[in-house]
Amino acid sequence: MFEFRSYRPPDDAPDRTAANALLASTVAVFTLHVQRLPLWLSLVVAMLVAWRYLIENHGWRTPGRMVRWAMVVAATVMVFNQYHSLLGRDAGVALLAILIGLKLTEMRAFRDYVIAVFLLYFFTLSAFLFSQSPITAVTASIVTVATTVTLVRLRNISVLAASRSLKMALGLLLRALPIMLIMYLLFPRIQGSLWALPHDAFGARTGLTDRVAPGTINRLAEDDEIAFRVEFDGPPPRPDQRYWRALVLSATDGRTWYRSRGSMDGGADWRFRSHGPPLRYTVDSEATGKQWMVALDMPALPPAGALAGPGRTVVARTPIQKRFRYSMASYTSYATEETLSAAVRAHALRTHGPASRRLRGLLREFRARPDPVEAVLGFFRDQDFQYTLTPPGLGDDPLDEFLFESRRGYCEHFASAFASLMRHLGVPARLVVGYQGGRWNPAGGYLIVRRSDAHAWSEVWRPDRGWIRVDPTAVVAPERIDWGIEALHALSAQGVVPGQLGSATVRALLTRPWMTRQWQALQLRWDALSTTWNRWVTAYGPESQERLMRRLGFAAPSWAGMAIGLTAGVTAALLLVSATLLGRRRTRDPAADAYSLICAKLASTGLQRRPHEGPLAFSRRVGIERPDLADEFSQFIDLYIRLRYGPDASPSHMSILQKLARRFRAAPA
Amino acid sequence: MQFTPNELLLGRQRLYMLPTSHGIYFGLLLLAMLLVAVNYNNGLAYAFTFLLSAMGLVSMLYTHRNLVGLRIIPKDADPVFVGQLASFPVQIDNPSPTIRSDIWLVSNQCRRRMDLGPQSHEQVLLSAATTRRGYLRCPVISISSAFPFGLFYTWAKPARPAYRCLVYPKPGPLLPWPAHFRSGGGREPHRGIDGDDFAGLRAYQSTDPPGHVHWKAAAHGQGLQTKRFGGATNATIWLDWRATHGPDIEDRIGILCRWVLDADAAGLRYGLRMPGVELAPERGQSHLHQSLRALALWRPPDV
Amino acid sequence: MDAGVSKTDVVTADAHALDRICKAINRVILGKSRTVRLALSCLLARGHLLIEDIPGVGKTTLAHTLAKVLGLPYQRIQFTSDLLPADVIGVSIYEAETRAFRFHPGPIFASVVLADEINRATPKAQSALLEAMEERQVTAEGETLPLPQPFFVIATQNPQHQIGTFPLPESQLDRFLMRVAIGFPDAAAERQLLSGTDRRDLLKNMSSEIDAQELVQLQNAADRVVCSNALLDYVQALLNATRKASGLAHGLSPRSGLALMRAARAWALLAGRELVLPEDVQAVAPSVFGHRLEAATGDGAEGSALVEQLMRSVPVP
Repeated sequence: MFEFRSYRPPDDAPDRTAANALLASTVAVFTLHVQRLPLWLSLVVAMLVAWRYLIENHGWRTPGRMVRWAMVVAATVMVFNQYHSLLGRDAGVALLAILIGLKLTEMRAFRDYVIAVFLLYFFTLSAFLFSQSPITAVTASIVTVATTVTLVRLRNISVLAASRSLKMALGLLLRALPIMLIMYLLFPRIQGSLWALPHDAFGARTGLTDRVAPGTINRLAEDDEIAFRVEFDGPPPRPDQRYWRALVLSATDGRTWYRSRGSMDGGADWRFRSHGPPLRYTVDSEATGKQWMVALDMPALPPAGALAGPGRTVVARTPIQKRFRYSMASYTSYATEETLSAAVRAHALRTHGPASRRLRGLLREFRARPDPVEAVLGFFRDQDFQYTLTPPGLGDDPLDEFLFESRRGYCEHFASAFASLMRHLGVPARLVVGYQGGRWNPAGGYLIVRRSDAHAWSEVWRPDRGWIRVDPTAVVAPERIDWGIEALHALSAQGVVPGQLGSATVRALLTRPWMTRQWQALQLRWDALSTTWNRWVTAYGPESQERLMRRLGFAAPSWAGMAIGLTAGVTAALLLVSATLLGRRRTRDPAADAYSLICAKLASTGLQRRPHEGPLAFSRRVGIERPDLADEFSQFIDLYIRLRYGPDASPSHMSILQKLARRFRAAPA
Repeated sequence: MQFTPNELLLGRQRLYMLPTSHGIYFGLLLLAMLLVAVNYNNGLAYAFTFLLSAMGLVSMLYTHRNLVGLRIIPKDADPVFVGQLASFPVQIDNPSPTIRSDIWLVSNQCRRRMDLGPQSHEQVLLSAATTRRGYLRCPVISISSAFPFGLFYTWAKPARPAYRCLVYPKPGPLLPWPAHFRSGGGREPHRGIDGDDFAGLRAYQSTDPPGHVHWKAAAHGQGLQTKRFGGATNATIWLDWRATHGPDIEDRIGILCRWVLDADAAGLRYGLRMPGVELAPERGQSHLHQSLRALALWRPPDV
Repeated sequence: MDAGVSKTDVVTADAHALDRICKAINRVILGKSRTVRLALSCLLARGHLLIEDIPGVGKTTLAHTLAKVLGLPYQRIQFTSDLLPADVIGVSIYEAETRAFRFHPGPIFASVVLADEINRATPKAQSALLEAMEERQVTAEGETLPLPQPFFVIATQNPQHQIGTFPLPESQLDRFLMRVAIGFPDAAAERQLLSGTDRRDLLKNMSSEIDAQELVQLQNAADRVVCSNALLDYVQALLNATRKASGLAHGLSPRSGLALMRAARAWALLAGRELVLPEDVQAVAPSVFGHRLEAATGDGAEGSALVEQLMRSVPVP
């Protein structure tokens, strides 16, 4: 009688309007890429799109097989010419672009159209390898809606009005969103890559370097790129405590400071003699392409997954190639407990070349003072040293020249001069490079540190206190520390020399006009948004996933557990969506519900309402067959009739009716 | 008479679903996308891959919704003669407030695509060839859809509704009237071409002479009708199985069928007598139907 | 309507009036209270009534009684095969004094028209009456004359298969809101009938129970009877079932649905209710749908039997 035979609806070739919709969405998807693709490539694709348009609308002929193959070969050669490779991200995307263009010209059957749409989806995905900003995401969303509308219209162009296809695609995508969210959050993420990435996987980056010469850090003063953001568990530290330690440099050739081999920059001893309360915080670091990580002076312990570097610095296991979040604790007041080995001590006292005559004279003056640190800082403060964003270049003997001639410098000038003087005076000293300051974002409740906040300071060894931080910049230009680098830019724009004015005057000078303040507030808001974005999109990885799971109450979930959770979550979401999609739209009358309830109770005693029996007729029959229930039932029916068939809509009557139905008890006859 | 017609409700249990070949390609595309996302550790790529996967899953629900709840209401087909195409009217009813698009109704001899608006219905004629007299069962009906993406397709368990078409025998060649009529009656009645009195219209049958077709009505789009002319004759005729000869039962039935049609066209009162069947002389549309029905369903009695 | 009278009082007052009317009719028509109520609700719904049965069961008596009780001027037309349209509508006669044609209105210009044995007349005469019923006006000699308000036609006819009849075409049957049959009286009623006085004498002595104004008031009350959505769902389900049914010549039109609603409202009012129940619909449906349904095979299946079947197959929501 019945046979099991599936019948697959045929795929009729789409018509011209479908092809035009496909061309439109192709153009839309290419907007994601056009700024990165070479101009000739964009022109070639535009030409192919136009060709298809002419084929569809003006009766041009589709190219023959020979022409198509010739185009494939020519395009491949040109791509290889451009990128010197056919592999890798950039060349791959270029090839994909060409492939889409060629597919457009040769489409005939329904399947070709579907493949073209799939290629467009893949092309959309490839845009994320270049940018993951919220703007890219928004653009890609719009483009995806367009592509999906095309996919809907391929089958149904003759039936669905364009507006209904759009509504349909939007409805489908909106319903897909919750399921996507569950997959996104719960799909097990892995650290690292499956296979070696092509060399151009990540773009070139600049920033802090591990070799510091006069002018190295100064070059960053104009670099507005964000280096990292920090959220504190409590209130943020005072501005003069915001020293972000990244590298310790103790080797020098007299001009450049750099990292020493082995453990000469300081051992991996992390003990403290004493310390104040810890400050806990989470750093959200931009990709640096380097291994070192920043930590607030002085880090208590390296965070989980990171290593202890020389001189109490923190080092990642692999270069940081993408946004990266880590949590750790630091002490802002501390005394370290460590010993200085003879070798390290000797290394930290090594000076380069003989001191000049006037330097020797100066050193003699210093030695006469009880505290060499105070002596040198006093020298910087009292002489006409100037902190400037535009220091002059230095010649063959930078130290001598800076101390006696130019006397104008940026942080690295003062820090390296100070460290060198200390070594001449027999005090072990080294250079620390990192960031100082940062701007507090009240909208997001976090600190933004930019590359322009890069800073260098010194550390000297005191037998009783270990390595302690000494920042000569704070003496010469207290505004740098108190107000941050931005303030210095503002002041120097007004011709003010740092270190010359009282703090009240500086504050007055730094008060910006209202418009500027609003603009800055707006920028901070945007940054807060993009931080949240980065936290959940760009930097969402195994650690964030584990944190999320822990917050949801699943400690250290296994892969199997995650897979089960993912499946269960997706199934539940799918069921919910199917309820909204397939469920009854019409809300039933509560009176009808009460009636079916009471009828079900009567049916259980063997008194079944006939389908075509009206309420009054049924009530009469109940009265005859079950006189014991007659009164109660007819009372219900009277009210039911008024509520279901009459104009009565009073909620109180409805609740009485529901109560009557609930309380109705019918013993079997 | 059936007020609750033998309709097929496309419930959940009745519907199946499978991916199309494009659906399988789509799965491969998603896999490739996931590999890219994992390898580049790219959050947006993950998000996009999962968006498309979720979209695929939700599209299954859309595909299912496109058929679920539809009602297929077949009806009896009008009787035809052997050799003519039987057309079974099948009504597809969409009682829901949603549009159903791109639905394919298929039987072994034809297929139709249709779109159903909210609370609307569409009637399809499923035709089937007729080769022998008697009842012809309604062909197997199956219904399917790949809306909206063509990634999945759903189809209903094919069903063969209990509807049927009465197939009259094929009228035999023109033959003289039965011999006993000729000998018994005085005047042989004309073969329905009694030109005197117009006696009304009836539906056209392929055996009618073209001159009697009411072309004016046909030109007004009212379908083919044949003018009937009732003569003054009030003759009664018995069409008897014994008056036919031949080795083949079907041929003899064909001769009787021809006589019945001719007698009706001539406006005679005619009766039908066959082994096991006897219809009293009568005339009119319903008697014609009764007679043809008796011929269509007649089986030689067991000897 | 008096402002001091509350709504329920009006309903009670209407119910009393209707009760009186029913009792008065039932004194004449014995043992047929259901048919009487159907006929009465047809008139309350402003519909025309067709009474169909074999001769001698009291069709004409019922029609007379209704007219009498409602206190309306009435005219009777005996339909015969030689009846002309002018005999129904009226005729223009040349008057010598005025030297002009003057229209002499026919029997149709009465509030209640009894059209006896309507299927004995030729289709021409039938359609003269039926057109007037539909339009509630008469056009004669290029002049349009309105018929009185209220205006009812109570027609009687013999069953179709009786010899010498011209059955009313389907489209004209539609003009009657209801078709009722009377049937034989039960034993007790028949005995009372046989032993009692002549019905015609009873009729002569009958007085009207209400006047025209009261009748209009009752008709308005019927219009106000509430039809809820749940009930509309049920009526729609009934109509749909006829459209999907196999074996029917055609489904019921929306106008049939409207007729059913009107009749059900009047029936509910007669039962003293201010809302319509599925039971009301079921009560009037055989009379309202009976002459509108037709079996496809034309094997003469009785319309009201089809309706009974319909009622049994459509569940009450």
